[in-house]
Amino acid sequence: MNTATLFGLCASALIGMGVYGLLTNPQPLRKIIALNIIGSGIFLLFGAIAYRGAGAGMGSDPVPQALLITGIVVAFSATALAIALLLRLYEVTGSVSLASDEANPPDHKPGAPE
Amino acid sequence: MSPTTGGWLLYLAVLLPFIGLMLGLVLGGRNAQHVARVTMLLGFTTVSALAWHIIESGHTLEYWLGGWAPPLGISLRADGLSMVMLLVVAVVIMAVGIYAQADFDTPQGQPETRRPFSFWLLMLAVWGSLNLVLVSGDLFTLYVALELLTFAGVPLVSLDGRGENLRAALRYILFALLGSLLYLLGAVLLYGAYGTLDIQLLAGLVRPEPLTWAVLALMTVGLLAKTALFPLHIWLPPAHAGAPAAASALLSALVIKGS
Repeated sequence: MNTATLFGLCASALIGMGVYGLLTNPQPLRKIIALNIIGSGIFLLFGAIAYRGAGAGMGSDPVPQALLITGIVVAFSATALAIALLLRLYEVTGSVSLASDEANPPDHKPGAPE
Repeated sequence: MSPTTGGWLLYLAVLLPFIGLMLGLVLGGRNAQHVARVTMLLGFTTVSALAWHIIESGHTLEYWLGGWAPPLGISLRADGLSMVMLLVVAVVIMAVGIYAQADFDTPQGQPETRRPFSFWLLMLAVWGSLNLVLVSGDLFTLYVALELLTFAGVPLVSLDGRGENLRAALRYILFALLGSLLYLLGAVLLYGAYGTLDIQLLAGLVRPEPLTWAVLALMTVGLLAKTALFPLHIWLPPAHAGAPAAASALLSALVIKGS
């Protein structure tokens, strides 16, 4: 087994773990973390593809690396936005559940920020 | 393909809304609304000029960012279909903008209120990212544009800031992120197999083999989640119902059509 295959297998394992975590955990924070694990798996896979596609005299193919950095920035902003929403949800309702209102009566704090 | 004359209209159509967004963010308050109004007029003019250019010349507009040729560079492209979509988007944005003048007016005597300020800036963000979706010539730019569209759509859902809006927005962003990650996985696998992400180059290279079918399945499911087609639709009703009327028009008419 060569290095690129090993990295590829690790990436598939990460993606699989992420999808499992996303589907089985009801808590939003864990779902966000699971999405980040899927993202890491995809980035690792892209890294393995770059490693495999190395041209003459180069350590690896530079195009995927340039795209990876953009991808990491996008994933970071997505996580930040999701966490900000989660924090505001906790401030407004006092719970972090994704269940609908019937199961989880709204508990509006007086003076919650508009 | 090579860059065509008038290709600068493509990046102008993408950049104008974002320039307006940043100007509005800096100037703040009531000025954001004025900036949005001016940007709408300028953007509509740009898209009309672009459409006229394509109709007159009768072929696809193409622009290479920085003069770099694909597959290394990034190309922007607009054919007849993209042109019609760009026009429709511009018309809907104008209509929503006119309708929202009353709904999202900054009240007299107040320097800045959260709802109108966010709405006008997010409307420009939706417009800019949709234009990028429609003119992007490679799969990765498309991914970034789809993510930008999500980042503009999610705050629109939670504009009213009540508990159920926030819950709907959170559910929306979880679905949308899973969708775009599946799409990205498909794009990565395509790059691994064919060594390019440029859509036109890929069209000539792609072969019917298991990898291509897997990519097709991943991208289709990912975009199904973002477009809210059955069976991945459950995030949409609370998200669109909880948004204010003008924001709901943007979300239903434009944001989910982007993917």
